[in-house]
Amino acid sequence: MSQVPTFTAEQRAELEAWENRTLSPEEFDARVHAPWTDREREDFVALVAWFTKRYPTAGERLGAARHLASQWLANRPR
Amino acid sequence: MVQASAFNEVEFFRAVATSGARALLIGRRALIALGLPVMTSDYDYWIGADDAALLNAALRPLEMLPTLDPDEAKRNGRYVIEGDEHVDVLVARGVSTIDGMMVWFDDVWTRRIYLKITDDVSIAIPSLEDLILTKKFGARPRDADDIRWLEVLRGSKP
Repeated sequence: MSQVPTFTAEQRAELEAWENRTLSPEEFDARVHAPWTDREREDFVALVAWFTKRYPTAGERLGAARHLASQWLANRPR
Repeated sequence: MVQASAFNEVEFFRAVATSGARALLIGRRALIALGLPVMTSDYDYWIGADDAALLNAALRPLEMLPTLDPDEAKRNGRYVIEGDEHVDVLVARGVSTIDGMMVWFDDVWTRRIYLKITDDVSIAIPSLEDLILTKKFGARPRDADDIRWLEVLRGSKP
């Protein structure tokens, strides 16, 4: 049996609605300008450096992202 | 290995690029093209207000069909093109950001940049500054996160 926790359809819909909500201008501005920690910035820069080195062109990046997304969709717990 | 669907992304971009429509790839696909490793499941375009018919005609041979006819799409401000993939299309002369700034398609189109997909296919996307403005249209939590990342990317450019 899978040990991965799964969402019910209702929980998934609730989560999606939460993720797709429109923020107030104040909430949006606060989220945009939330300070980065040094660790967060380093991780982000490293991730972008890896991605752009592994996939040097826009076409390769888009193709890779599409492939990875299809893998994720095929393998996600239902 | 899991394969993506039969959808051919290069042919899709070629069809858009040769359609005659002024079509800007926006949303997370544009971020990916710029080098940000984010997830998305669809394609987002902003097209000229009178260009829906051109785009629809170009994508029909790929069995991608619009949910609204061009006049309805223009009145509605957005529509969807569906086939093996889902394409959200914004068709508006201008859109307001969450903080009330009007962003005009013609201006964004003028400042567009091109990214090469293959030797003979390129995509048009907004400039970094304009892409950030488009992220203020919907103002969802992930749009704010995308702006944070785009700002770092902008800071790293010469």
